[in-house]
Amino acid sequence: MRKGDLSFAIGAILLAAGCGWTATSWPFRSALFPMFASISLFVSCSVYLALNLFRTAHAREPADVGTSRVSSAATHEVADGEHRMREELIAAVVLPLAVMLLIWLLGFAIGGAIGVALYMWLADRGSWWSPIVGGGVTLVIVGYLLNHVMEASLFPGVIELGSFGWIS
Amino acid sequence: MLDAIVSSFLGLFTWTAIIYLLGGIAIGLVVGILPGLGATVAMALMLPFTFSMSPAESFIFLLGMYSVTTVAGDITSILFGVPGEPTTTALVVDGLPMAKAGEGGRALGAAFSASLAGAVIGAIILFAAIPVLLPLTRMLGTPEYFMLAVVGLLFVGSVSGKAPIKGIAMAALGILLATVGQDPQLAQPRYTFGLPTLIDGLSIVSVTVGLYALPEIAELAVTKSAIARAGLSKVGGLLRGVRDTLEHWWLVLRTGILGTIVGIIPGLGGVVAQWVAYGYSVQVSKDKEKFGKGDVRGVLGPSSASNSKEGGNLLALVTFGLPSTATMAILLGAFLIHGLVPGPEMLSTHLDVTLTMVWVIIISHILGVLICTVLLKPIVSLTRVRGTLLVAPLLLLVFIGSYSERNSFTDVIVTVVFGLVGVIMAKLDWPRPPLILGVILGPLMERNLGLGWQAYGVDMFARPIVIALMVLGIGAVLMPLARKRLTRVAVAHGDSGETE
Repeated sequence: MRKGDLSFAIGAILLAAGCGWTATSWPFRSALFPMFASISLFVSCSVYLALNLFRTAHAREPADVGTSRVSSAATHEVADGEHRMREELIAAVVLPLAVMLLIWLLGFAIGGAIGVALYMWLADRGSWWSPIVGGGVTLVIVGYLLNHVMEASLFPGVIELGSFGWIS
Repeated sequence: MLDAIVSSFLGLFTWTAIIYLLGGIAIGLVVGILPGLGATVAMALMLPFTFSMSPAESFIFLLGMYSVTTVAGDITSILFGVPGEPTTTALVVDGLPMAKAGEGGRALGAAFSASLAGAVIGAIILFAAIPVLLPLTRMLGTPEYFMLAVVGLLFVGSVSGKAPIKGIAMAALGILLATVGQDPQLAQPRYTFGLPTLIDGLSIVSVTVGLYALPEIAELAVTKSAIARAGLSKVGGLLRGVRDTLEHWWLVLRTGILGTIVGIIPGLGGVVAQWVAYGYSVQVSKDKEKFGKGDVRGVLGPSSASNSKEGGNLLALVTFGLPSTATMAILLGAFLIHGLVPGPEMLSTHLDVTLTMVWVIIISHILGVLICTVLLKPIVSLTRVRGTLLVAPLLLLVFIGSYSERNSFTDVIVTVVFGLVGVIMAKLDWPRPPLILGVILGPLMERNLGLGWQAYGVDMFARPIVIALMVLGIGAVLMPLARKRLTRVAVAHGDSGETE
């Protein structure tokens, strides 16, 4: 069983236990659905965990007999997969968090445009042409088209921008 | 009924409807041809932009987009062996060898025309089923709708992925997430952590775009490269493919019907439909040797089925509120956002909206095929766009979408959290569709259970249709276990046969 699977299943079990416990303090009709969902989540993840741990324990013995070449290739594959997953996790956490922070500080128009330009600059390793165009287009679309023409009233950001404030 | 069919058709010829349809088709073509950005992601991304539209307009836009993604996905499957859409993977088997043998144009012509035929078959079945299903839906009350939602969840949970138990766990997690916010009966706040923005519950849009769009964007950010490195040489012989469709009309018709049937069953959908159709095409052919090496019938069957399944998908969604795929679950979210409830009303009061959807499927397929045929080369050039150019604008689009539903920054944070959960789930093979279904169906289940309990008490579970649905639900849970057991027995027999 993969470490990630184990952690995810344990996380889900803890979440179910916590949610189920919280629901016990509510009136029956309010608690019915959360309790039902918590118990289902708890039971299904526990069964999954138990079945897989049992299978892993059984599979370990014959695996020792296997050839070293096969196990070395498999280890490489797993390592590649884990490396890629780590990269994707970083991309899924760092990138959205950075853009979200910029938007929170400067608003959708300016924060978004800076976010787009910065990402393109980092991804294109120092080329200036596409970041400037990307940031400019974003500023026009979000700041002018969405905020002013379509009156979408997107988040203006927590920092006062003085004379640039009209953009966001 | 005939009047409604004609008036819903004529209703599509207003300026706003045409603009939304063409806009949807344009987005669908781009999304369909770019691998990674599937119909589900596009639907999740575009859902927030339909808030200001009328129900009919929003479905014209969303379905116009959804319908052409498969048609566009055919192009990359056949020419590059890279499916633009998961629903076009079966085309690679025979389409790519045909393209390598210089028959790419013929394969594309066959795929386009069979797709169009399939979509029309699915739509005709949907048209024909409406008068038959209306009396059936009127027999259903809140207990039956509660049970239908349970069965839908169990089906999707149990058929998703290699481990059905993971699917059931994720459906339960989805229901749990749906309980965040005020309880609909007693107004008791649940899991809100004192945050006023969570009193209304988690936004469907924030959860959906987080779970579906952010993992794809993260993958694009890591991959960075474009899918097509070489340019496209001349593609001719499209008409030859159209002739193939006409020559094998009986196969196209049968796989079209098969696709519609598969489309109705929750948890199956386009990916399964095309493979079932491929298997069927091989099975019914007398000469099977050419399959896998470039047989046009291997292109016709899957193309017809993966497009006709849309009729089946809509049939299950509109009449019973059963989303058969993740994309349909998001479309159900659009129903709820626009105040439409699946069931008899969709076949009576809101029949115009339902019929408009059917017409949109047909018209967008016709337009999609025409555009793909005429603008094949410029459309293919989209495959050379670098991933890095798409990542940041898509991310911004995701955030704008999740923010604009309730003008709340908390929803953006929710999106980021679910984005992380989505990446982990995708990488560890924990299925996401049951979770989305749980989030969308959870409130419907809770409301119908509450109303049913008030009206019938414990007797709500003794109604004949409810009992039948319960049996079906148990079957849905046991089906994968039985299938596994049968496979094991068959393998054991095979092994012993070999030794003997």
